[in-house]
Formats: sequence, C-alpha cells, structure tokens
Amino acid sequence: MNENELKKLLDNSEQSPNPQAKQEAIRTAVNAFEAMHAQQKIAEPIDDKKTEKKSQGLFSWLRLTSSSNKMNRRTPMNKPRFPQQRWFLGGVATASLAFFGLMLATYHPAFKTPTPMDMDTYELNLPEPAKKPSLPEREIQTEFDSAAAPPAESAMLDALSKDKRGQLPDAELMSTPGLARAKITTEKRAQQTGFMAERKLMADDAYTHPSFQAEGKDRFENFETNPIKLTSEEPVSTFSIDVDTASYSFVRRQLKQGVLPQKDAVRLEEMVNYFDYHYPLPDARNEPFSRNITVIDAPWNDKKKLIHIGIKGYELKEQPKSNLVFLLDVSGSMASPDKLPLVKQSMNLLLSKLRPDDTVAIAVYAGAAGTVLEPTPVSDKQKIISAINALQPGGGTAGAQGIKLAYQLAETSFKKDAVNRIILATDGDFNVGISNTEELKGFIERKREKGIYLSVLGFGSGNYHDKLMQDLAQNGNGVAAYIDTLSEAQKVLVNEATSNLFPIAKDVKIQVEFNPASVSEYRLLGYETRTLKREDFNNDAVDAGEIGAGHTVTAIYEITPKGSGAELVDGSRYTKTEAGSEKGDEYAFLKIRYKLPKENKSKLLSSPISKHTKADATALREANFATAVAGFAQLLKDAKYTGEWTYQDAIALAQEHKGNDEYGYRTELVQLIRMASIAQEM
Amino acid sequence: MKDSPQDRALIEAAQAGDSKAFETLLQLHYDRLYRFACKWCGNPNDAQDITQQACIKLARSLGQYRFESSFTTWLYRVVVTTAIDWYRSEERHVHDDTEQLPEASTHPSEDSSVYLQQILKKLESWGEGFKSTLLLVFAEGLSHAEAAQVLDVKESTISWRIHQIRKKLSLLNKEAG
Repeated sequence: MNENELKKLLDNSEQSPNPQAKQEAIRTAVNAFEAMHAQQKIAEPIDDKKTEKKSQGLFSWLRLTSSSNKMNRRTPMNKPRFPQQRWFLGGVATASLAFFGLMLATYHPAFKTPTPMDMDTYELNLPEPAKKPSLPEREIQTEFDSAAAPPAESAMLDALSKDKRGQLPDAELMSTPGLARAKITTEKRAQQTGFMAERKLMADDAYTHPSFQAEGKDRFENFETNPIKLTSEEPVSTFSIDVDTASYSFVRRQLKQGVLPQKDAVRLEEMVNYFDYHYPLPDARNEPFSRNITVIDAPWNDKKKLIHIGIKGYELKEQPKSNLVFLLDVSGSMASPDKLPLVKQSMNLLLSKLRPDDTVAIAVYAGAAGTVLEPTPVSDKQKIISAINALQPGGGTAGAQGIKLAYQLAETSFKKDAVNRIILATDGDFNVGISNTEELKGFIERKREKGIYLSVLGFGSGNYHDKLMQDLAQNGNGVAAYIDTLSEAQKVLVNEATSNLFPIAKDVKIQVEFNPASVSEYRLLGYETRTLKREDFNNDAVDAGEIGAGHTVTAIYEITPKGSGAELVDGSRYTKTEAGSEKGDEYAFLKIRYKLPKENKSKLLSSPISKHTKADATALREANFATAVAGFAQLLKDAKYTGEWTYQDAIALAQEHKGNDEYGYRTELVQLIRMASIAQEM
Repeated sequence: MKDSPQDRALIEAAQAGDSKAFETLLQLHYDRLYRFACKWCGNPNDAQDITQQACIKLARSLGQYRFESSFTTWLYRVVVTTAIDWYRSEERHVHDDTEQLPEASTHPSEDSSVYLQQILKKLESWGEGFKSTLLLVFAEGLSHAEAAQVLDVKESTISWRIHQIRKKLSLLNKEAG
C-alpha cells in the first residue's frame, strides 16, 4: 500500500458528525464549563482584590489526588511534577531513616574527644599577666580553656588569628577549628612548659580509654611467590633492593595474637632484612657498600644450593644534619594505645638520637591538616616534647592534605647540607580527601627529586593499608616500617636511626646472570613486589630501593646445579646444550647498580659468583640464619618449594645460628616460629 | 496554523468565564475533533464518546491555554490525549464492551474501515506515537513541525516516524502482493 491509498482510506473513514451527538456533547461541555466557573466565582467572591492568603493551596500540587493520577504520563500535560513522582516522598522518608540509622550505627563513645578533668581550674593557678605584660590575659585563658572545653576553640582561634596567623606557613590550612586544640603555638606554650609538660603527661594517662579496634580490614597487595626459572630460557634476574621491615613486624603482631598472618602480608625479603647481619664493612668510601657472597646447601633440599648476596652500607662517622617533619595521623582511629600513644613515645625516643642543631617540625592531619610545631631546633627539646604530648586523636583522616602541608613545612626549613625527611606516622587509612593515590604518588616523587624524602611508620592493626604505605615510602626514597611495640620503635628509630634516616646510596638494583653451564634452574626468594625488567637495570630513570648508613640487605637465590638431579623442569629434547663453556666454575655473575645520594648517574659494581666461594664461619652463620628466616617466611606464605621442611627444622636452624644476638631479635624469631607452629596446628 | 482573530476573541472571552463564547468555540471546532476521533478509532460511537470527553476536558482546561501555540494545535493535543486515555480505560473494561463490538461493522464502508483499523493496530504495535503521527500528518495534513508541537516531541522525531511508517507500509505491501 502506498501513501495515497492510505490517505484515501483515512478520508473514507471520515464521517460527518451526528448533529444530535454534537449538540449533546457541546451542551455537556458547556454545563461543565459553567459549573466550573460558578465554583470559581464562589471561591473568589471579590475577583480583583486578592484577599486570600498567598500560602493557601501552596502545596496542593503536592497532594496525590485523582487529578494528579494522570493515566497518560507520557504526554507532557499530564506529567507529574518532579516532587509528585511516586518515588519522591517515599524516597525522602527512606533516606532520612537510613541517615538516622547510619548516625546511630557509627556513633561510638570512643570517637569522642575526652575532656581532661584537671584542666578546668588552670587559670586560677596562672601567674598574673603582669609577669608578661605583652600577652593579654584573655589569650592565656582561652588557650588553656581550649584544651579542655571545645566551645572555647573558636575564641582561641580568634585570638590566634590576630597575631599568629601571619607567621604560619599556610594560614588557610590553619583555620580549621577541629585542629585548634593541637594548634597551641609553641611560643606561648614555652612560657609554661615547666609545669605544663608535667600536667600534660598526667592528662595523657587520663586519655587512655577503651580503644576502638577495627578488625580484618588490613589491606595488602596480592602477589605470587616467584616461580622457578630455567637458566636456559631466562638466565638474567633483575630486582630492586628492599630495606623495609614492615612485613616482619606485622607478621609478629599477628602471631602474638595467636593467628597466622595473611599470606599477602608475608614478604620474605622484608622478614630477612629485618635482621642485622654481621657482614664486613666496606673498605673504601668510594664503594659505599660491601658485597658478600656465600653459597650453602639448601636445608630443605640437599641437592639444591642457596646463593646469599649480602650488602652492607658503610657506617657514618658523624651523624649528618637532619631536618625532620613529622606528619602524624591524629584521626579518631588513632586513639587506641598501640597507635597515637605509641607514636608519641616513638618520637620522644627519636629525639634522643638527633643533634642539637637538627630541626623538627610537626604537622598533624585529621578532619583537616594543621601545623602543631613549626620547625624548631632540637636544642629546644622541651618545646618539642610538650607539643608532642599535647596531641590528641579525633576526627576523620585527610592524609593527602596533610602530606602537602608537611612538604610545605619541610621546604620552609629546607637545609641543603642536611637530610630533609618527612616521617609519616599513620594507621594507614587515608579515608577522607584522597581519591587518587596515583596523583599523590606523583606528588611525592616530584618532591623526592627536590631532595625531600618520605618515610612511613605504620601503627596499629585492623585497618592497615599496607600497599599504600609501601608505595608512598618507595616513591619517597624512604623506608616503610611497622611499629607494633615500643621495642620495635626503639629498633627502628634509635638503634637503626642512622640507616633509616641517612641514605648512602639510592636506586640500588641487582642483576644476576646465571651460567647455563652450571645452573639449570634458579629461584629468587622474595622480592616479588620489587622485580624489575632486564632492561631497567641500566636505565637510570627507573627508581629502585635505597640503602641507609650501616644497612644490611640480603638476597637469596635457590639454584639447582646442573646434573644434580633435582631439576623440576625437564630438559628440552631438541635444544642443544652448549658443552663446557670456559667459565664452567662460575654459577653466576652479579652486577649491582647504585647512585650516590646527590648524584643522578649510576655506578656499576660487578663480581662473579664462583662454585668454590670460600666463606668464614661468621659469614656461614649469618647465611644460615638468613636461610632460617627465609624458610620460615616460605612456610608462612607458600610452602610449595620447601618439601618436607617444617617449623621444627626452622627452629633448629635458627637456634644453631643465632650468634650472640645482642638485642634479642633473633631469639624472638625462634619464639615466633614456635607460635606459628602452634597456630598452624590449631 | 494561525488562529483567526475571531477565535482569539472567543477564547479570551471564554477564559474570562463567558459560556456563550465557549459554546461558540465548540460549535466551530467540534467537527474537527470528531473527524480526528473517528479516524483514531474507526467507530462513530466511540468517536462521539471521545469527542464529548475532549469537550469536557476543554471546558476544564481552557483557562490553561496561554496562546503559546496555535489553538488548533492545542485542540489536537487535547483530543490525542483524550483518545489515548479513553482507549486505555477501554482496554481495562474491554470485557464489558464485547457485546457492543459488532455494532461497528454495520457501517457501509465497513471493509475499508476494518482494513484501516488493522493498519492502525499494526502501527500501535510499533510503539508509542506512530498512530498519532500518522493521523496528524497524513489525515489532518499537519506539517512535521506542527505535529511535533502537538505531540511535544522534536520535529526530527516526527520525520523519523513518518519515514519508518512509509518504509514499513511498503514492506507490508510487498508481503501482501
């Protein structure tokens, strides 16, 4: 059918209206019309004078009456208005209820900032302002009140803003009332430090309250254990060194609670590198670290061998100057005793290791970021301690903003001849403000190029964001350590302060080329998250790990010597094996690339790994102990290459080689292995 | 479509409450409404009902007419809405009306009418708006722009619908041939 036919059909169907029906319809309509207008007239007796209230009937359009129930909603005339949509009112009601429920669910007394009880009476004890006439009485009072009574915070802010804001590096960041409590500027505080510090310490004890404990939200990067590689197929193995120790501390914490750690929390290299090995010191300063190679039999398979590559950085004769900025997470989640209180203690420990002319600054972040202590020389220790002790947890976590503020502080007190470093202490949660971790990492990377480094100290468990912490520290040329106890703080910040604070070489990469004539298979133990591409080794633009003064780093390869019969991969039938190359007595060739801290061009060290490496008793002992740690880590993570070897064997090996164990760390490992074997049985 | 000045005066008078003016308006435009309704449903009885409904609707809603579109456009809009509504309510009560159905077939031009209704049914099954588009453009001779105004859609939508109708009708033709 075409259009014309259709039109004809349409015309045909047209019929003249029935006049009777027409008149009837018109009459009905006119009646309706008249009725409606009559009604209107009654409703508005005086038409031109609008006497009725404007608000009358204002919301009648909201009512769901029969006239609002339009059947043909697609026609715009009949479309219900937005708030008349059937879901709207119900939605509003449900949303209100859900919000109320959420408020109820998230309310927790532990989040509330406790009010110190002994603060209220302070102004009575104050000396008369005459003692220091330049300081108005009101300021002193509000200052003390602010520590006790939140409503006074804004008053204090007013006082602050009059004369203090100009001195602060970022007045905008400072103006958040949530931080006012911590923002007592140190100049004024110094006048009262004598008794204040004491009182604050007492007050601290009062703050220790039942803690909020998040469970099971620790986040770790998932990774697979390095597989066995065939030397004939992939003779070169490249990785970046890793001096972090966070994994061991976290594993220890879990084991002490009687549970086996998450597999992804076990990073073998970090557990091995937790311990300090007695490798000989480097002879000359032009080579910043010594290389020590030891070959021993693998305890879990006597046909295989383990190649230990141990690196030790030189010790500094004189501690370099440092410019430290502490960036502390003071959010509500930091309230538990193993978090903020431990941070405070750790900082006090570290202070004892610093030189008097070093500077320390403190920035905090919670709901917003703020400066607690502007760069202050360590000689003014009392001021720093009282600033530390005044810290209190409360609020959300705006980590990204805090990091920016910390870098600002570090830049204001930047010293060319010093180590400029930010130390971030957090329970690992950046839950407010930061949506793009890549952007944050890029920011840290740019600052690193300017000479400001970043280290991360992780605290607490339950919400530990391991991956982010690792990433931040790696991008900031720093270490990521996990602090679970005061003794760990002692280890990281006092005993190893120099190695953790003062880098002697950066971007240290290791490349090992195995000799297919003597090694048929090899496997790198650990360093899964640090592997590099073969071509990255010679590319100075690729970032890698740092070595601090006196640091030891150990890497272990498990190799299967040719013809030992322990190969896991069958040989190829068709590929010719090259017979007896001239370097037949070498297992492998080791190459290390590094940069000195202030340089951008890398240097190369290399040495062959011979089959007949001689090692003295100390080196053997250290290698065996490292093997015990590595074996333990493999048992915890993935025991597929360790065969019949058990925790008991690990205990025996560790016991035998723990040496004189000055600080007791190695004994602790033995205890941990015992705990793991018990936890395993349960 | 321009409103005649006479229409405009009548509308303004009716909006002010003059029932005589309103009656005159209806007298003038009833036929147009009725013819459209007839084509819509192909059945004089239903068409009378629809037209009556539309007239009552006009009485109630004339006050809302703001002279933004032409009055005729507005009338079409009212009658299309009424027809759609009427059909929907009719579908709901379809079992009540079954015995009345044969009445329609008594009309002389029965065959062509039935055929037309079959086509329109088909059109309806393609989706909303095809039937009204076809009637407004082919039967009432509205331009695409005017039809777009009546149905409150974009002009391009109307053009697309017409294109679809033409394409599919020629297909129908082939099938039949």
